[in-house]
Amino acid sequence: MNPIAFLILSVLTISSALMVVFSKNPIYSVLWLIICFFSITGHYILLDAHFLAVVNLIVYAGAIMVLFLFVIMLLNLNKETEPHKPMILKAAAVLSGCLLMIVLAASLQGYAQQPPAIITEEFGTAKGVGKVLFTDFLLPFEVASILFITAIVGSVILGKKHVND
Amino acid sequence: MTTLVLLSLLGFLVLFLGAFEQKKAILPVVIAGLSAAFVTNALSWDTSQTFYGMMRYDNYAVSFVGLMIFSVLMIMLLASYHFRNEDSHIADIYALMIFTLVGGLVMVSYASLVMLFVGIEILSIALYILAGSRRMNLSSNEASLKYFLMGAFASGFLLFGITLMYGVTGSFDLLVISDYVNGNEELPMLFITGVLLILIGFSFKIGAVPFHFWTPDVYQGTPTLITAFMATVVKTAGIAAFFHLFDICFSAIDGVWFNILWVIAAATILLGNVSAVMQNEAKRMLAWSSVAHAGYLLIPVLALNELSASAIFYYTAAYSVASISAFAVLLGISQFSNEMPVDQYKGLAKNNPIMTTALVIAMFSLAGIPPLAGFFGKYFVFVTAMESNLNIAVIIAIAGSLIGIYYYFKPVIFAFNQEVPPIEKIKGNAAFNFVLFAGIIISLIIGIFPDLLANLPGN
Amino acid sequence: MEELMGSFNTIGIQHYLFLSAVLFSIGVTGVLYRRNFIVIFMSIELMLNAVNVLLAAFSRFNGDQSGQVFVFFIMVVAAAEVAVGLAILVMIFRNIRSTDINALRNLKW
Repeated sequence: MNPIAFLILSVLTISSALMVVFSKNPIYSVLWLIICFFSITGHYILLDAHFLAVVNLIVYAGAIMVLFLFVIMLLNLNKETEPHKPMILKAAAVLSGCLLMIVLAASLQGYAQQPPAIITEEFGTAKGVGKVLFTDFLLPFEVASILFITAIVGSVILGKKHVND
Repeated sequence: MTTLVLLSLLGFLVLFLGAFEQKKAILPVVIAGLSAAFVTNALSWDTSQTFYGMMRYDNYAVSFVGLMIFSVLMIMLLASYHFRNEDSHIADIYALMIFTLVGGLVMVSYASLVMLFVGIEILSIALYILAGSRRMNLSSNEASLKYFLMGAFASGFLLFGITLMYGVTGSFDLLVISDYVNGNEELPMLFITGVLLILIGFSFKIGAVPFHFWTPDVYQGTPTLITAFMATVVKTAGIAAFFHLFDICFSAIDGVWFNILWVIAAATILLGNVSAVMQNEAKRMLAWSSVAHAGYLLIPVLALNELSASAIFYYTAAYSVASISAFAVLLGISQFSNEMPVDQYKGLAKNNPIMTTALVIAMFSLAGIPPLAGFFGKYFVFVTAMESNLNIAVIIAIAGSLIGIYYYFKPVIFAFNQEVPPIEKIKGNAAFNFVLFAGIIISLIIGIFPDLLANLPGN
Repeated sequence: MEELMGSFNTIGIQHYLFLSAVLFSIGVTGVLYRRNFIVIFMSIELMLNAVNVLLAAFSRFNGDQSGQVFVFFIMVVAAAEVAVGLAILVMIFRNIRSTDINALRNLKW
């Protein structure tokens, strides 16, 4: 785990995440989110999670982001139509975010340091993850198919043109 | 496991029947399938199998799954009444309800946090869609959106908690986590943060104060039929999953979460009941009352002794039966209208005696009047709490139920109001009347013979 | 400053914990701060990604791949959730022609 690579990636991740939240135009938010996801892919590579790195690129930066962009374009949302929230609410939002961060960060203090575990050649590759997925996690994998059929049926129900509702 | 497979296949079958326009066959198939699932579920009694270390189908799971299958069956019968005149997408709605049930099944039988997450998401995603199933109706749309945002937000907290738990213990398995908790005197701060984040996530899902704010809006905007679903099946699954996790894993460290959960439970009971008093909308009132009931259900979790599981089971059973009746009556009165002022019940006694009886029994049961089921539900909860010396919580809960009597009596009083112009006669079909009858009889039977269900989940 | 740089000599789990806590908090802030449904939704995705990074890090430091498998499940669920969420959004947009959650007045936010 290269410290310099970690630092650069982390700065990129956090600054692009901030830009996602604070950009005025939703299109910019999506573009920043893509950069954020790319930097997270970098983190996965640093963490020897090669399979996840690829899946993250394909699923998140590929499919999910295209879906977001597609909907924004379809609904013509690329204008700054968002009405302003009162300043006090915005301040409260930022404040509670900071508080949460402080609480989380404080709870991380003093967690026992440990060096990275020694790993096998297979760790994090499609082979290694696949073996775990299809042995220990076979049942949730199968059950997740119900989740997908639900999502597919649901999207069709909600998205199709109204006939006589 | 058989039940899981059977229900999943039933969902697919219903989808296919819908796709091939076999509208007439759907309801019989659904009823037959759910009955079969109920039987296979009952056959797993006392077998207590563990599947792949992911799912433990013990008596706890069997009892709650049985209850949920029953509730879904009743709601499906109501659905056949509700959608009698339209045939657009009833098959999809039935299928989604069955998939929700699959999610609920996973939520009450998980042995690993991965399964818990997958179960919660199956349940939630199906419900986001069901909440928005009246697509042209703006309030249904909004309810769906709000439920979706809150659900996804809550999932984020739950996931962060699960992750911290995994990081500290190195496993998602409940037994490993429980061994870790029991084997270590001092737990790292990280673990405790994880417990609290999971607590927050669950509180969102079951609608406990202060994470309840979405409940009334979502319940009101959602089509009444689906509201009945949320108030019964979802609440049952949520509280059962909540208790399951805390019972197995965190019972040794109650110092960490006890005070927080105590405050949440007390606030939920008080705020739920007080807000329900102030509502003039029948559906909103029922929504707040369901918040209050979530509060009562948290008390056995708080007590966490050998009586808790049975108390939760009996309470959810009594509450589900009564709620389904209450929502059925509401559905019959308001039909498709979104406006449901409480005085809509006016003159119901003259108009339709069966509905009135069902309403009276349901409201009295929810209020906890003996000898109905709701009374013994509260009684068991209080006994459980006394066992763990939670006297103040019991006092608060009793105060809450006394407030509750006021608003539960309001619809009943309106129903017997004589000075109303004769309104159009409300007629239910056979399925609708069956649900009402079942509600009346079951509330009475399990109220008079509470032992039938009282010791079901066992230990 | 030197001390700060020194703490980065070896990257440990606490760095990832901190990174993910910051990312998670940014996501929560975004949910509370914005009104545009799509941006709120993206903020929720940020929260999920914070969890994913942390899981991958724990998985690496514990030398156990089940954490990575869980990330995989979270991605699966996120994909399904995005599909449903955007369908809800399209449905609402057809009815009201806006994605500002405050335009939904029937239910107070």
